[in-house]
Amino acid sequence: MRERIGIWERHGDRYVRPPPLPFGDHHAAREEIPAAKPPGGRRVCLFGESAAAGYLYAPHLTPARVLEHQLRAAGGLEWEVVDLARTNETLAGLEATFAAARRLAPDVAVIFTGNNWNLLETSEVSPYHPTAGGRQEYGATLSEGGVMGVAELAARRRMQRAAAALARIADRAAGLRVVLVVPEVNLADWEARQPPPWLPAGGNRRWHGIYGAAVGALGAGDAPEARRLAEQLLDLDDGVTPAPFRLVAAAGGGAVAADAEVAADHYASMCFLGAPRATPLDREVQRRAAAVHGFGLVDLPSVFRRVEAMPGRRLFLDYCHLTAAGMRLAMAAVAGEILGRPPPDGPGPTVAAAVAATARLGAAIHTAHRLAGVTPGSAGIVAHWLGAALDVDAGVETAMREVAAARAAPLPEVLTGAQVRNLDSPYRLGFQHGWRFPHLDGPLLAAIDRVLASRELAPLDLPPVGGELVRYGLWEPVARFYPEVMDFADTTPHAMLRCPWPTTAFGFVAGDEPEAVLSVTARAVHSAGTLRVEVGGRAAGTLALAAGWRTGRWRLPVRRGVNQLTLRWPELAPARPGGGAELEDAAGRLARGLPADIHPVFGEVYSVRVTSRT
Amino acid sequence: MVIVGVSAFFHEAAAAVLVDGALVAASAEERFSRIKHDPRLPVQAYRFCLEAAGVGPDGVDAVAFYESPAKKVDRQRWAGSSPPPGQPDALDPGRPERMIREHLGHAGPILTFDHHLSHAASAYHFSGFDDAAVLTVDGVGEWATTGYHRAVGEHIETIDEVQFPHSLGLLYAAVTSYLGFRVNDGEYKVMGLAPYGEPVLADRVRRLVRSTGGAGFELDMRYFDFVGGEQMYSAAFVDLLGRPPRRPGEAVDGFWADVAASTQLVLEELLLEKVAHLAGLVDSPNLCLAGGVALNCVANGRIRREGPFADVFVPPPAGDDGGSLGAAALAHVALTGERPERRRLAGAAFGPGYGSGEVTAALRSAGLPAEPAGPDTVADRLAAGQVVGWFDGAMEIGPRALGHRSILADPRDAAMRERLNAQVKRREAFRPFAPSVVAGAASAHLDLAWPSPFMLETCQVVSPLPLPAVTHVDGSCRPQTVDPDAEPRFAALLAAFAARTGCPVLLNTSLNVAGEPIACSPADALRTMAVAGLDALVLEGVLVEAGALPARLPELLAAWEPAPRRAVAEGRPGHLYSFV
Repeated sequence: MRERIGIWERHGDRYVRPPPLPFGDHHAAREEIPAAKPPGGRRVCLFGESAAAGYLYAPHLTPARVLEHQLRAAGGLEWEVVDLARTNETLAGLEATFAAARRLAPDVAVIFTGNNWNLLETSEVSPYHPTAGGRQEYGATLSEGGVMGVAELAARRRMQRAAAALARIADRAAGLRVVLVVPEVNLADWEARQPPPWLPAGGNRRWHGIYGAAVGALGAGDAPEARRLAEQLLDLDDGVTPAPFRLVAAAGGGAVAADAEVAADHYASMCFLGAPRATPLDREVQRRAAAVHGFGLVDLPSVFRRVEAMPGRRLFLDYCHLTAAGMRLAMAAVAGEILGRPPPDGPGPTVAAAVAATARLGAAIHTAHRLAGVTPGSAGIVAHWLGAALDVDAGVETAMREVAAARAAPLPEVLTGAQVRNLDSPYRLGFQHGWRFPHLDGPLLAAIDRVLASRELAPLDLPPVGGELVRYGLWEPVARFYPEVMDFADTTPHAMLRCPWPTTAFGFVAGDEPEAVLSVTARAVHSAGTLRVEVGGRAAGTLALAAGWRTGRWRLPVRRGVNQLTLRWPELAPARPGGGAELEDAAGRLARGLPADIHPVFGEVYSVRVTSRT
Repeated sequence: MVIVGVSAFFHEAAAAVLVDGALVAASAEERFSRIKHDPRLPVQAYRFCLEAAGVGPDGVDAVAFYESPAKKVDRQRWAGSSPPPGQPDALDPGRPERMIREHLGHAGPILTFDHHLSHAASAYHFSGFDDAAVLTVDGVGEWATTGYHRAVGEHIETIDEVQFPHSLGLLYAAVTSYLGFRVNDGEYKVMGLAPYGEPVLADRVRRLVRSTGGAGFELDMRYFDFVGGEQMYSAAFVDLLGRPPRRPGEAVDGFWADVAASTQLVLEELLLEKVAHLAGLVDSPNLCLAGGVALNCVANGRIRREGPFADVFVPPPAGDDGGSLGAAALAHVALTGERPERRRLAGAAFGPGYGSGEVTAALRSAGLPAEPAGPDTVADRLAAGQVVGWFDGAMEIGPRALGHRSILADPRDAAMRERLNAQVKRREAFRPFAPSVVAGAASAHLDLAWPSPFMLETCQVVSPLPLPAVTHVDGSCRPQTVDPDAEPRFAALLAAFAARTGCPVLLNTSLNVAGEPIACSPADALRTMAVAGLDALVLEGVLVEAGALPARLPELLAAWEPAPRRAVAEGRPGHLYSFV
């Protein structure tokens, strides 16, 4: 067994990694790392997660490369930065790589981590956990402390694990200088929206009503009203969901409210897909560890907020990954900590326009996958990144068309001609750009079409994509991942889509025919009343729901290209007597070792079928 | 009356739908999920069945489940089974009904039937017989491992049964494990290996299992460990056979072949004896066989040739996937009082089909030139030695590709078998390939006096032509006879090949590589073509040349799907029969 550092394996006087995979992999692209430092040189090892690995820009531009550039620009010593950051890094992986990297005799270790902890470190705290013991623990905690009790359990466990890991790293450091980089996250442009869990006394029905009104007020520019309504939401759900904090932040509450939103995103680790972002608690653990263990500290929230009160798209591509400007700012702070003085101002390492354009396209794709359709302002963010990509290099239009063609194909992207063309393109997309995505990418395709039209470029030319949309035509990412969000291989999917939001949207691509036939088979679960169906924002039909399955069929006008089909569910049914019993029911199932939903489901959709004729 | 049969939670989960007693659709879940032997509730197969039947979930009159959960859990608890990873409720008898309600959205009646009765119905109700004796043999259902049944009209009566732990299926599984193959997957390998050996260890195997006369037989449990053990056999088993177990990947020498040959022989002897016993119980010229052991085509061939029955029927999904068909048929009888449509299955193509429009769209997206290819074009290529993927019509139910999702080649080429095993299928060199032959020409090439449309029995090759690629080491083969009325396009291809070569036989193996389910969709077929290195693929009459695929595609596919997907039950060691 050869010595290894990450995926680099010892061969003589150097460590060598396998060739990078065609769609990229989780590690830095550097093929060889000499075991010994150059004579008189200084070596920094950089550890961390995707933000530290330069996600969306890698391998062309990375924090390691920026840091090395800045250190060298300071003159004097010959600095080398070894990039050991890894996308999807965990605490266990970090510890192992840190220990192995001592063989490289670094002078400084920089650890830029924390964004992944809320998603990867306590996934066992879930009502869908694959073991009976895990479900029972969840149920017992739910019974005793409610949903906030479960959230606190996950947070407490995460903090303990992180603190212990950092303590072990301190033990292994043994004289090595360690610098912790506390992550900042995108506060202005990102949103953590989760549906509320069961609330007492019919609170869910009121919550959704108020939320809709608050979003409307915000859209109408009435920030005070939006904030007033958001405060009502906080009263209703006790701050267990992040959405009200986002409303407060958007209505003038600023970074404090945005931080509170991030803090409330713990719910993501239980039911729904969230985005990896360091929470205020995660940051605090790092600050405390730095003080206890004598680590150097670069506090990016402080650094970034000196530049922008609410850091957003200038510094971030998405939820936590840095723009080139963000990398420069962050690494200048790190270089300053290492050197004991600020590095000289100057341009960072340059990248080709195609690389910048591809990173921006990746930002648009990520935003569409995680936010579009879910959050009111996300369509604008997607359009921003698409436009920014075209601004820096108009040639990226070809990659946009390749993504669209691959998504609309009746094949996995890897089998499409569009993918083959993109592989040989300067705008080459990899897994980090969201290249693999088993659904029609409705929001992204629609945004690309709009941006192309706004620049008087030819519209997308896509083959019609209709048929059974439940299979792959979803518009809403949150609904798509529920409840298969957890990485539990044994999870049995449902034959129908369960809908935890008042609206559920699908996408389809129409050809030249002006009309299509739509049929929907659905049933109510916790709602009662009539389902309203819209296409392109226009009413298309209604369906009286019941506990049993009902099917509606309509002929409706469609536009050539991407269409959005929206189901608007009726309100949740009034509370049962003795409200709060739903959570007790959930706890009861969990105690029996069964998975359980801890939130209401408006309805279930068995089929949404769009065909060109009856 | 729309009835959906469901088999699930062990291996080969499947769904099948009967509409007014006629089988309309059936498929294993693995074909959709692309997880080999996927045991999970067949969610996608269920959706496919409803679509094929033209109904929504409100149009399903009943769901029929293929075994009795309470009885099964009773046996599992007795045997000390524990839930496998990810299935903490696996020993909850309420799980099947709960999951059918919650995951399939079925609100109507749910009927359950005993496992072996479902097997029996999967054979009898699709045999076309007015009456039959039915023998069901597998590892274990609830308690039964072997069932003796009398079928008349719509009724199937269980006359006798053998119960766990005495099981021919478990005997074979234990030997499969001892030989270093995966249980519930490698039994075919044992059968394929047997002709390379001599049954010199048969007396030792007869100490493992002995007939007790009549319906009965017993395993000598000193040699087995089915109760909470780490492996299926005991130290005494190893001592008896004389060698430590073969490690997976270890060379297969004569000893291992002798173990396989001896076990196969003892199995055949016992089955012949029990079939004879059943003939004495049931006054019928017809025999139906089902259960996992009924996939042992060598034994089936001997039963057909040497047994007392004039006609024998084995359904193409004779294993647990077929339980879905049987349960649906039993439910139809229970709810209508009538027998399902009495018609012998002529084919197995009850899975999804894809029209030429879908294929054209897929090829256009792939950027591949599409060239129409009739039987003559394809036959030319086969005659020139090419290996051709053949994707035509609806996918087959059951483990055999029968001319709908097949890889075809010239059986006269002695090197073809080696090439296919090594480069295309990527499996053990000793594995045989099967021939497909136009029914009318079969007797000129095979010692076979009756149709064999499902590749479920073996016979000797008697062809005047050399057919080395489909002839096993003992001169046998596992043929498919192709009836032009039932399979007109495949028959036309065989005829075209015969017109060019004088050989009406083609080598026919399934369109997949080792460890993967048979291709279902055009995308699966294209992927298989790239990974297996086929020379060409014919998709609904459209030819795709291997040279048209990007040269890097195998590498890209490997990067796209880095880890083979594993079924739940396979989370357990491969050397154990999963009793849950």
